[in-house]
Amino acid sequence: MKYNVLIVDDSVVARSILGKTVSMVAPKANLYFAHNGKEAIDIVKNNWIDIIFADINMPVMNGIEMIEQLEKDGYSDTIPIIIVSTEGSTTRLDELKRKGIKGYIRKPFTPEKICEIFNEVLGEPDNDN
Amino acid sequence: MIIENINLLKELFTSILQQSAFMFAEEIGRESTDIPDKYLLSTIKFTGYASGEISIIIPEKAAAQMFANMLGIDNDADAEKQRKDCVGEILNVLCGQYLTSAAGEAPVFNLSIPKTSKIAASQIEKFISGKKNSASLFVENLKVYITLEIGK
Repeated sequence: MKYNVLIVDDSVVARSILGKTVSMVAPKANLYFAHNGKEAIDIVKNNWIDIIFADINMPVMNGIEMIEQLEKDGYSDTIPIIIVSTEGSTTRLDELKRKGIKGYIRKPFTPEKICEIFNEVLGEPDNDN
Repeated sequence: MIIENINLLKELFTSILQQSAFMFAEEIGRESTDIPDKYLLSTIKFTGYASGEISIIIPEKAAAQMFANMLGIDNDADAEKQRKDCVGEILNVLCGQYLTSAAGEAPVFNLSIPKTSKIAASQIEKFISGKKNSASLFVENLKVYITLEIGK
């Protein structure tokens, strides 16, 4: 199965690195990119998305606001959300888990961590022809 | 309680630079004879459990190399926006790591979006002299400055 992956981060560097890493894990994945939570919601409403990797700290609409909006719009049960952030607070992580995130990756991350979470949440991607 | 320790910040910066950008920061270095006149100043503020700010001042040349290394692409001298973004992202990671190391894993902080702008070499001394804690490191023989203020 080919996955549709949405990457949400205001940093072009962060989006690029995460995009390249996801492509290594799932070369056939379709990648979508958003600069903030609002753009991400627009993409989700117009495309089938299998998984979201999102930062917390973003302008316009941050990661937490995005999660809350996705829940209101009825997407939180169908689209797993993985937070990729520089924050390390366990209190914040507990808050995010209560909001239903499926994983948390701290920056800087290794490709192995992305692979582990991807497989855990979605299963091994279809990399065959 | 949060620790205000510039040496901790230096250590974390060195580690993040190495891990993310494959660049090495050294305490003592031989400063390049080609002294840069263009620098980028990036500042991130935090609030919550404690408030403060962290800044990085880095030669544009080093920022360009950092960007190229992080993305595995050729050094694009014209990508000013990308260089600023790259420095901001490194600062973002540095701030997150520092706050966890200095205050523990329980406290919650709110980080601002890093603000990155150009700064002339002649203005660096004035900027640093206004900060409580500052240090410099050599990255690829280019001097990089970091500052830390807690309780601002």
